[in-house]
Amino acid sequence: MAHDASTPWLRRYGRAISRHWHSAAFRITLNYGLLTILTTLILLLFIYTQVVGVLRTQLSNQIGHAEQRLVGMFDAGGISAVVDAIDLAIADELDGGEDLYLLTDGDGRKLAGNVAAMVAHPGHTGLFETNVILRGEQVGGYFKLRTFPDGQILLIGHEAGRIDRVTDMILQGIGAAVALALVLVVLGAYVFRREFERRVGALRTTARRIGPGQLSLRVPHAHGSDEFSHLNHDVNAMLDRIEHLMTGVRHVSDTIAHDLRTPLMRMQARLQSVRHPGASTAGLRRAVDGVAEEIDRLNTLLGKLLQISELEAGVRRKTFGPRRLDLIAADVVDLYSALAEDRRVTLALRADRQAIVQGDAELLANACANLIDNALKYAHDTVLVRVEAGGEEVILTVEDDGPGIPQESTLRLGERFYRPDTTQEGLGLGLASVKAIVSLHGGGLAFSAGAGGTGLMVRLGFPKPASG
Amino acid sequence: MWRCLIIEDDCENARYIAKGLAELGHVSVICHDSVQALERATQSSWDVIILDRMLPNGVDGLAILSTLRSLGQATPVLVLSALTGTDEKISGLNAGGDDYLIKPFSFSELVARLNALIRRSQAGADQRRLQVADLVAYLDSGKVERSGKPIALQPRELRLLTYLMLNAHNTVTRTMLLEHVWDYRFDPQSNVIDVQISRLRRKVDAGQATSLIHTIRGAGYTLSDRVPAAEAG
Repeated sequence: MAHDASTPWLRRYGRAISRHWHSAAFRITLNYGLLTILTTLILLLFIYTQVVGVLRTQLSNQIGHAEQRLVGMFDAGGISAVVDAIDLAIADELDGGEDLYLLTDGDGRKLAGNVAAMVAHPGHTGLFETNVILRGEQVGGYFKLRTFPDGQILLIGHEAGRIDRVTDMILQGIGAAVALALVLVVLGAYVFRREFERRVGALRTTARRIGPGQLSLRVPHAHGSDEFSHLNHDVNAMLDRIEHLMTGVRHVSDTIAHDLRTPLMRMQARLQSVRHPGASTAGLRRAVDGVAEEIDRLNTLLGKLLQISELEAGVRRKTFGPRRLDLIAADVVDLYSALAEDRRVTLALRADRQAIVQGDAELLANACANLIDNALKYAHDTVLVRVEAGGEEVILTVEDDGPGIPQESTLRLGERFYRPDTTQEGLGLGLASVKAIVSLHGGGLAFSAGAGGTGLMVRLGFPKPASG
Repeated sequence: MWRCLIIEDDCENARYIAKGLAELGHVSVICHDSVQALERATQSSWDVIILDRMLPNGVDGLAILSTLRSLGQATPVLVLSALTGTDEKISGLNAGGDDYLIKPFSFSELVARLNALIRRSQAGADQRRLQVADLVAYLDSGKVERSGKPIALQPRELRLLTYLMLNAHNTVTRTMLLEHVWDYRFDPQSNVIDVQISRLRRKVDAGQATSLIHTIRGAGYTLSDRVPAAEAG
């Protein structure tokens, strides 16, 4: 049966439509196209009503003139002149026959004209539209009615054929235009969908392949600078960052493995040394204390590493708010003042007031403490902490007058486990966490020699929070 | 003697804590299961509850804690966790925890913190005048006297001394001091706290027959006129 045969075809067609419908590009183009058609349609309808209006005015004028002519005849030669004029007019137009006349006397008897019978007419004297019988056929037309002083009634009018033809033409034009536009819109939507799919396709393919682990892949570079090439560029930048972080993680785990080994070896050695029977209680105690100390150190180390990776992952940013770096620095300087005094180092703070930084107070204090801690380790007799809020950035500098470090080593400062001076105690994580804290705050870390050409100056620059 | 409820699914760790507390003469009950824990916590009266954050079946200890608090239970709770982030710490304290300790921890740190918690919950409202032996601190005016003679202290030193006096005769650890006196949760690398304490000690104990501020080796400090057993220096 026909119905059965058409069902699979319909279903296939439906599937195709729904597939296209699920494409954003298709929907957007289609909706946009339909909107355009709608606006054009409104415009065309406006033009249509204007044209019809003009034609009607023209017709009305034409009928008016004919009426005036006949009235002139009546004034000159009475009703017979009018009858003659009508007969003449009808005879002239036998071929075209567009003017319509009917003249009746007061009793409704036809005196002249080509219209069969008087029609029901509205009470007013203006233009009206109606159907009449012309040579046995019904025709539509626009008419005016005039009553002569002797009681004769004149129906004068014009066939509507011309207006109808023009309006038909316009409507046909509109119809054809809309149909064509619809076809173009659907076609356009399809083409756009194809293009869209092609542009997104590269991105999708790359994303699909990166998922299982091919992290070095990048989205092919697109020419031009449209939205898609921007998107590709942004995605590539994101991938670069992810890859960098993952490489960092790999590097760190290698280093951790290495750094864990050393204390583990030491612990093992300590335990081995008291493992034999007859080890003294004092010896055992020393070994246990030593191992406990090593474990504490390892614990601290792991804690710091965890903190750094937490910082690098940017988890802490949700606790950010406007903080006064001058007060934070003052608190930390206060904490370290006793230690500085103990080491006979002058720890001085020079801070601009209201140095506001968007950030986390605890982390900023932590960074500051790390820098002061370092500076106090190496300083000869002065450590100067400065907070400046005058320029483009809010700057914290910590400067010591110690031995400083060679220029080439400054490049590696801030790497995890990097320690230019291994004679001092430390884990090699202080500057790494400072670096992580600063970059979490969107700032930068720089190293240079101190003011006198000696020592080390560490400079943290934080962006000023947007005012307002 | 304290009555402690230990809510912890790691049996070994729970037993280690319970054993240590028993050696100090305290009584503890271990509870591994979260449902049972809530019953236990509400039915008996405890001096302190030690609550692990990670419980079996994916229960967050903080859920138990907030339920307890919503039932009007005011027993001090020390939250244990392997989660290090400061955020975690803050959410632990927000849920109604009185203190937060990160695993792994030393037993002395745990005991010092429990001590501070229990003291705080048992201390009366009138804490405006603190006295340990002949050392007196007036918190309203910020004046400190030893044997009737005034001692001039910086604001931070006053806070440090107040905290030590509030926990008199008990050990306070360096991290406790950092957290409560300086409000820092990070670990400064050098011995800043030791130096701060020795500066305070010079002001409080200089020229006195008995020193009040003592170092407890491997643990922290105590302010007391009874000489602690494990003193060194």
